[in-house]
This record gives sequence, structure tokens and C-alpha cells, in this order.
Amino acid sequence: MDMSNVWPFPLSLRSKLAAAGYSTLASLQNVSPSALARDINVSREEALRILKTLHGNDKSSSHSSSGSSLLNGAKTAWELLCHENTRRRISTSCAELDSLLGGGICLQEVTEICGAPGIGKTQFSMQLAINVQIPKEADGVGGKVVYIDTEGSFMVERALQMANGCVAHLHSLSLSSLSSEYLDVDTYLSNIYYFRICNCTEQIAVVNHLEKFLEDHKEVKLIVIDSVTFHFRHNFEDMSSRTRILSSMGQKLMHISESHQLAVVLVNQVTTKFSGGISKLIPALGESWSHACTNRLILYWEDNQRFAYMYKSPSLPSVSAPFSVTQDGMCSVNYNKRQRV
Amino acid sequence: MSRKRCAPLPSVPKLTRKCSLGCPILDSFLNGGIPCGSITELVGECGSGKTQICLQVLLSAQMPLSQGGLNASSVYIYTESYFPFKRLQQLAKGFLDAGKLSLGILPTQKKFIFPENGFEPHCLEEDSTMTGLRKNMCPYLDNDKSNSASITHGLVTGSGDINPQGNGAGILQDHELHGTLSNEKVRDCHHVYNDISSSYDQTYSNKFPPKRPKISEVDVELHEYNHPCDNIFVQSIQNVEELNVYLDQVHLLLSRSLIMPVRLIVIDSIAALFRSDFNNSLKDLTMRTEWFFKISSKLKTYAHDYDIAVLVTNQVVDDVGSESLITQNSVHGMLSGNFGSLISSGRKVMPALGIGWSHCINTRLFLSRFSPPEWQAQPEYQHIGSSKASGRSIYIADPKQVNSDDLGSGYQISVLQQLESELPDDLLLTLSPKKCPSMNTVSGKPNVPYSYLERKTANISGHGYLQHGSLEKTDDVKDFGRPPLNSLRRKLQVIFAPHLPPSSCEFMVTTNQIFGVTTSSPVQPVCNKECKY
Repeated sequence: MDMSNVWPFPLSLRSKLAAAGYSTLASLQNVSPSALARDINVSREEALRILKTLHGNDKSSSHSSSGSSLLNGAKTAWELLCHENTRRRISTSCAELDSLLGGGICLQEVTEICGAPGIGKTQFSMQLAINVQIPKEADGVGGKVVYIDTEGSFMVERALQMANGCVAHLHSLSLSSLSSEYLDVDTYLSNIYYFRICNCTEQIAVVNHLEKFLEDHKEVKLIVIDSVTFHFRHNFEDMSSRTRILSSMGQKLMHISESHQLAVVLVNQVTTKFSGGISKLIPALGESWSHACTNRLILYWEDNQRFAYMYKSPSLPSVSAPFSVTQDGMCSVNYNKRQRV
Repeated sequence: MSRKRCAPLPSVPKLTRKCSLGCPILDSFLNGGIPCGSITELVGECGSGKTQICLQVLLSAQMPLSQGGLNASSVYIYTESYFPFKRLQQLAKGFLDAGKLSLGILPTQKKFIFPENGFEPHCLEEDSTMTGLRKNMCPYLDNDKSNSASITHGLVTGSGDINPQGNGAGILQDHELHGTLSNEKVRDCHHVYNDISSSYDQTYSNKFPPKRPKISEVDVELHEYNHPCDNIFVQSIQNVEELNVYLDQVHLLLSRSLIMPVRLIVIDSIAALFRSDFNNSLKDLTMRTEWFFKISSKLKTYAHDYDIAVLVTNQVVDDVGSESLITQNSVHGMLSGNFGSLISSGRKVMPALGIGWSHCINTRLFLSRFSPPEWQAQPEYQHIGSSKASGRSIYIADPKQVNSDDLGSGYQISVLQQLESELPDDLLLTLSPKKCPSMNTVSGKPNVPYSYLERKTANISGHGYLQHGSLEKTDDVKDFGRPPLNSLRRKLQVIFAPHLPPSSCEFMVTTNQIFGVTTSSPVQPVCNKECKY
């Protein structure tokens, strides 16, 4: 953006800056006073004064006084690493899955879950919607959830069952510092902001509306869209427009997760791809959508057992972990086998 | 969709209403019945009972809310051949006899003309009642039923001396939307004319001189009997474009406020729409998948907006193995559902329409037929015919006992049929593997062992052996230890559902109803032990 006409300098100085190519604040961020002096043919002190004036107008606080050229809002990798280790994660109630995910679903990241029908994607997302509300005293995140349902698979009775399981689990931890509201099933259900949308226009509208919604509801720590695919598999003659809409939606969701520090979980479907005479099942919405998520989890069956596979992750290895779905929600396989006896 | 949708606001999700199936065992298996607000699919091979269950749900949806029904009318869309009207009437009769449904009585008000000289009153709105309106019916209603009646039953009220009976709230109900009529209405039509003219005569001749007063128009308060079949709207659909158009019209029907609003849509079957028009080419398959999502998106929108239940039936295809869609167990193969256990009539099957359609439904229920493994294990069970009462095949146990010279299979069938007709209605006859004395010491003829069991629970109530021409009962045995040796067993299995664990339940189809059974000692495990319940 050309800001040169608002800078508090005399016209001659501004024209010198423009002639040398400095028209935006960003272009003046990284330049040292001597380089600037050389470029616009002024003395070094003059250049230093110019830079100081501009830095003083700038509201950013991450500059050191010596003008070390840091971009607005940039952090060092060390700061990022420290921050990442303190990031909280949402447990999935299944120990193997949690270790697969490096502790659970990470906040500030977009995770996609895909799989064939009936594998447990909706169960997974409902379990996360309950588990995000586990209070901090019990090693949880203690937040609320926005559940965007596009398929009508969210059944309150199932959420009730899972909430009961969660409450039973909290009871078993017997933490004295836990306030009684976390042991009441109704609390868990009332903390779910449920949106039911019936076509892709509504889906786009809800995602656009999320920013404002989150301003008013700061305790939301999880957004679930189940499923993000359903309304985009018809009504689009032109695939490129679909790709554009999807990528803008993906960008928005990434931005929301980053800025509001919450986790976004997207549920995706699978489709068949024929290549070289063999048909494979691949995640739906195409190749370009694969870039919209940070992590991708694929759920599949093997010999009557459900597995989750970490297909894409910036930091975690690609391994599989088994899990089960029971009356109380998701759980690990050993627990299930033990309970059966 | 013409329904106004406003800015996205979070809504409070309510407990899903369920539509009972009409049988307490099946209802508890499905945690209440067919859920509203989502699409439920019944998938199974031909003859597995899909249409039967659909017909029964059409009736059970009319049951009052207190009994688990929806107190609602239904729309039945059929795509294959004909509408099973006779079977629906059979089931309706079963429901009426069992007291689950009753003939509803609707107060209504119509105008009558009493001609001065004649005795027969004419209803002013005769043309505008069922007969007439159904001629200019909206295109989605079935017009080929010729049973029509304008009035069924009534009491004349009028200006003057005749007391009105019943309440005065006569509102012309939306009778014009009833697509089918029962035979009772036709009968009652004539009855009414007699009623009105006789009451007219009686009242007036006692109080007044024979000269008739000049009444030209009289408001008549009528009571109309509403047969359960009246609350079902049927439509035949041939291809998917037609279905798309029809669903837009159904929207009008859903938004109308009837006495019994439409709260159930049944499509039987959705597979037939897609199996002929689309080739196996990639382009056609992609187009077909788009149609899946278009149709199911519309259905789900209605399901949510009007809180209705949608029931769809699907067919099966043979599961041929690795050359078709993936059956490899690997993440890149991504097994398309846990289909390993779908067996019907002894062969491996999987639902038709592929994985695209599987994504469009919320709940999938698989219906199958099977024979207990004893049949395969013991080849000496010989098929001798079918029972006249139930139509089931009858096998005879240990036919070596039977001397084939003078006891042909025809005799055996007739004896068993006679036996079945002698049993009370709540008992079923089947053959048992229990050993009995092979030869009757008295008559010298061989014995045919049988057992009878309670219809409702399929628990063995007693057994005996059949002797030549007569019925001998031995001591009743409460727990027989082995399940009944029926030639055909039916199973309803949950493949996936958001609110149900994978499990199965057996059921039976009889003349009066479809009901679930709990077997005392099941041949196969009733519940797939994936989930702890």
C-alpha cells in the first residue's frame, strides 16, 4: 500500500524516497540508516531521523531500540518452540490416539479427519466436542465448542452418552478442586454451539460469520465442521470455482485457528479414484484441499478393528493406532477388551 | 428451497424424535425407532423384507405420539413395478385389529340440499369433495383409485328442531389431499342417505303435518371415518430427474397444515432409479454421484426443516472380492466399510450404489435372510413343501424315519398343514430335531417330530411328535435348548448409525405384522461384540 503521501516529511524528501523506491512502511523496515542515506542522497543522521520518525508512528512493539530489522509481528524460532511446547491439546479419550497425535488435537492447528462411512468420524468429532470442555484442573483445555453440522449426524442422545462417560471418568479422577458444574452432564451439552446448515451457501456464510461469533464468545476453543465435504459434492459445474471457494474457506479457518488460538477439526469424506486400472479410496475435495489442513488423519478398518493413520503432519511420524467406539465414547482397544470380560 | 433462511445462529439441538416400527422389540433394538431429521437406509436383497418394514412404518407413523408414533401422514414413493396396496391393507387390518390404530373420526360440515319433493338429500359440495377434487388433483397424488364417497355418516342438523350432535366446530378439512380410500367409505355412503332420509321422516312426521317444510339448504354435521390407508400419499417415480421435480412439489405438501401432517417420506427403492440410466463409464458414475448428493441434500433439508423421518431402501450387489472396490486392509486401500460380515442367503453381499451413496445417508440397516447352520450341517433334512398358513418351507427332520412307500411328501405336507391350522393363532409350527420313538407302537407308522412355539417370542412352548393322522402331544418342555428349526430366519443388523452400536436383531414377517423376536438360545450371536452394551 502506498503510504508515502501520509508520511510527515516535506515534499522534497518524500519525492526522494519515492524515486528511490521506498513507498511503503515495509520497505523501510529492513534498511539500515547508512543504506538509506546512500539511496536517497542524504546524510546518515538525516536517514536515522527518518527511520526513527517512522518507527515511532508504528504501533508495533517488537522492535528493539537499535532498529534491528524485524518484521512486524515476527518472532524468533526459539520463541515459537517455547510457545509450541506450552500449547494445550485436546485429548481423544484413547491413549494410543493421543500419543499418535502427540498428546491430542493441537490448538492453533487445522486437523482433518477422513474415512469411509461408518468408521467413526462423527463419533470422533463428538468426543472432541465433549473433551474440549474438560477443565484445566483435569489436564483439559476447558473451552467451549462450535459444532457445525452439515449432514445431520449429530444426535443429542449420543452426545449425552459421551458426556456421561466423561463425567464418570472425571469422578474416577476424584479431584477435590473440581467445581461441581463439570460433573453435571447438562453443562457439557450447553457448551456446544450447534449450527445446522443445509447448503453450501450457508456453510460459507457460517465460516465468514465465525470471526464475529468468536469475538463475542471468547471461550470457544474448538471448531468442528462435520462434514466439510457434503455440500460441495454437487452444485458445482465448474471445478475451478469450487477449488477457489474451498481454498478461501480453508484460509479463513487457518487464520481463525491461529489468531483465536483454537483447534479446527474438519471431517472429510472419501471418494474413489481410478488409476491404472486399480481403484483407490482417497480423501474427497481434490488435491488442492489437501493443503488446507495442517494435520490429516485417516481412519480405516482392518480385520474388524478401527485404526487411525497419521497421514500428514509437520512434526509427527506416520504411524497407525487402533481405537474403539463404545457406549461412553471413544476409547483404546485394551480398555475395551478388558471391559468385555 | 423456498423456506427462508436467516443469518446463521446457533440452535439448541433437540432430542431426536423417533418413529416407532410398531413392535416393541424392534423399537428397543433401534433405540426408539426410525429417527427424524436424518436419512435411514434399509439395504437388503430381494425378499429380505425391506418393503414390508416400509409398509409397516407407514402405518406405525400414524400412531399417536404417546405410543411412539408420529401422529403423521406419510409419503410413499415407489420406483419398482406396483404399489403393494393389498399388502398394505392386510397390515392395516392387523394394526386396527390389534388396536394400535383406530379409525379416526373427523368432524366436518357440509351443505345439503333437500329437494322439496324428493327424499334424497344431495350434498351441495358433492363435486368438491373427494371425487371431484381428485380429478384436478395436484399431479403428485395417485388418481387411480375409483372408490369414492362424498359423505360417510351423518346426522342432520338444521334450522329448527333437530338438535345438533357433536360439537359445532365443523371445519372443512383437507380431504382433497387424501389419495386412497377404503372400502368402508363406499359402504357408508349409502348408509348415510338412508340415515338422513329416515331421521328426516321420523322427526318431521311426528311433529308436523305431512306437508314438508321448504328447506333448501341445511348445514349438516358429518362424521367421517378415516382409514389408516387414507393418510398415505403414494407416487410412482421412474427416473431420478422425476424424483428431483417431485421432491420440490413434496415441499408444498410438507408445509401444509393437515390434521395429520406429513412427517415421513419413504422411497422404495432408490437403487432402482440409478441402476438402469447410468453406464459404467467414469463420466456417468461421476454424474450419478452428483445426483446422489443432490437428492440426499434435498431430503436432509426437509428432514431438518420439518423434522421428518426419511426412510430409503437400497439393493445389494455381490461382493466379488479384490477385483472390484477395495477389500484390501490397508490405509491406502481404505476398506470401504466393514463389509466382511454382510452375508445374506449364504453369499457375501455389499450395498449397491457404492461409496458415494453411503456418504449420503446417516443410518444404514441391513436386512438378511439366512438358514441356521444346522441345515447345512445335516443333509438329511429334507424339504417337503410349504406351509399353507405362513408360506414358509417345511423341512422334515430325519426323513429316514419315514417310510417313503406309503407316506409320500404330499401326505406329510397335508398333515403338517392340518396341524398348523389346528394350532391357535399365537403359535407357530415348526419341526424339531428332538428325537422321538421312530415307530408308533400302536399304529405301526413312523412318527414326525414337531414343535410349536410362541409367535411373539419364538420361544419353544412345547413339542411332540405327529402320528399318522393325529396329533400327539408329549410333556411340555420349557427350554428346549436349541432354537426352532425354521427354514428361514430374518435378521436386521445395524451397519452404522450415529446413535446405535453395531448389533443385530431377528424378526419375522407374518400376515398381520412384522415383529422382532428374541431367541432364547440364538444360533449366532445376536450382538456383534464390537461395543460393550
